[in-house]
Amino acid sequence: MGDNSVGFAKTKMINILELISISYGLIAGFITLWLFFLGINKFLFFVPTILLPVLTICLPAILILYKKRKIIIFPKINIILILVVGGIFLWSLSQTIIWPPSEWDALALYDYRAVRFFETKSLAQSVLTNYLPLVTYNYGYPFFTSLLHAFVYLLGGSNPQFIYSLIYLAFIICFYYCLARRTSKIISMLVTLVLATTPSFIYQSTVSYTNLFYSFYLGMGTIYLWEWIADRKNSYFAISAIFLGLSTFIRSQEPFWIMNLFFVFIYCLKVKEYKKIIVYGVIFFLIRQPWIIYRDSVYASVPNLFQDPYRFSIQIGKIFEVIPYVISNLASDWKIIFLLLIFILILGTKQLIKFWYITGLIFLDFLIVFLGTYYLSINFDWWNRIGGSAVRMSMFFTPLILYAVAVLFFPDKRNNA
Amino acid sequence: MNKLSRIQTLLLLLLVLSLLSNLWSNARPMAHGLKVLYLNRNYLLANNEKKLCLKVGESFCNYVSFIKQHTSENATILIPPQGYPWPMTGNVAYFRYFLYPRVLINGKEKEPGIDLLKAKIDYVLIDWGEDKSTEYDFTHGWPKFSVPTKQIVYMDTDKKWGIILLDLQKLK
Repeated sequence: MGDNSVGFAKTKMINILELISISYGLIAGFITLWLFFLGINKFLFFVPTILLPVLTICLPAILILYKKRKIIIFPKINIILILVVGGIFLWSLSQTIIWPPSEWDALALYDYRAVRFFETKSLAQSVLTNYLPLVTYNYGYPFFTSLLHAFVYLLGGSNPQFIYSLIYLAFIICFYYCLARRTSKIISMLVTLVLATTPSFIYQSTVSYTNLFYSFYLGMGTIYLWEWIADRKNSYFAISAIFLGLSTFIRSQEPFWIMNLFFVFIYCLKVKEYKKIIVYGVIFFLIRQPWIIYRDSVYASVPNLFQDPYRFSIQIGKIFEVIPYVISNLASDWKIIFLLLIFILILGTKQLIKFWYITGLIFLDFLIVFLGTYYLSINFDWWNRIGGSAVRMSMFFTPLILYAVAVLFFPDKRNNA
Repeated sequence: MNKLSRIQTLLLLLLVLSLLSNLWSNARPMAHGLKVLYLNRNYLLANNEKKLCLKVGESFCNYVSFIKQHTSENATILIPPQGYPWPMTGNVAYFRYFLYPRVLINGKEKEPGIDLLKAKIDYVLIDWGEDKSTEYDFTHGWPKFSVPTKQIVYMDTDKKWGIILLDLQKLK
């Protein structure tokens, strides 16, 4: 057993609600990767070819679970949490079941690609590359949500939006039980309620955008990394690596994953678990690289494709424009969450050091937001018109900050999960 | 009360405030969502196409139906430049969702901006603009250039919306 200096309680029981929620994320990821694998190998999407591997994995998993039923618990849940989260979930479901995708980006890209995948039973490369000005747009975001929509269409569904309500619920459940292992019931309930009622999370659970899935995979991927550091459960470690990999199959441009990898590298060196660095890296890159290779091969196959050459230089003036721009945008959207972050930084000196692995990673991710915006500012004149986009991209900070507040300032060593 | 406790109290207060603020912020949009569902209860069992029309606007959908009716699926259509007053009908990525498999190509405001013959353009939209606002010095009404015409079909009596079937033979 490695370093346990953080002093967290260890848990051995399997929480069935958390397990189902994690499974939803894993199965969604597996389905999209499998469809992608079929597509790049020129196999057509048919119900048996898309369902067989899913069942091949799910059935043994259920059997294993059945064998381990003695350590499975169905945890008691706070009634307030059930009412609030359940109410929001049902409201969200009422919107997503009734209304088809209708938001701008969903129609222009995500669902458009999905319908083409469904019609052609393939990755529709000839369709997505037939109009030169839109090739880089069509391949600007990886296929994750489009393939998930296509999966619903292939199974006979006509409206895939419910998957966003489900990921909302899965997100809140995973977050709650991660907190419940670290803090008291009342704090984990309160903090989870803050996350569950965050307007951007509720809105994103009703629209076919990538933001909620991305926040789930990146946010929970990071939190499960922290859980691994606390509990040293290899399952948390694996989930973290898989989730982080899947986040890049939703948005490949944002480089937040670099900081998680860098962090795993530093931490594993510190605790002398060198193999873990390789394992984490292998899992992550096995998920990330296929899309990058595929996208680049598509670009290479399109004659006369023009991609803007990016440049980098140090411009002091721009730096002083970017910093207030980012802060004002995040502060105006996060409001009290932003205040909480400031308070953590000002008031929690001792905790900042003790829980360096939490605060350090949040700090590094913030660095990415500033660097990314700065990079954008020196390449594009319209950089300061994408404030909303930067805020949506940064949605995953909210669970990280809330988790940090709870764990840093309200630690509880009892195992109450 | 020690220092940590004071910090805890402060943080607890902020968390509760955040929760209340969230609940307050959500109340209106959530109630609106339910109200929209209730007001459109006749649509609940409608097909997705009708529901989508309700969301994106009936007039836009009528125009889409008109274009579909008067063009073949393999047609190439010249559409207005991207920007207001054509936020939807001038945006190839958005508009293609409704008109696929027709190929859409942006023109310029006062000239085709493309070799009509070389690009094998079959139709040019007559597009007043679906939005009241404008940008990039664009004004309502398109096209503002002449094209070799075989047939013009208008959708409305004001002749603000329609489609031009090109006579490319005249360009040869």
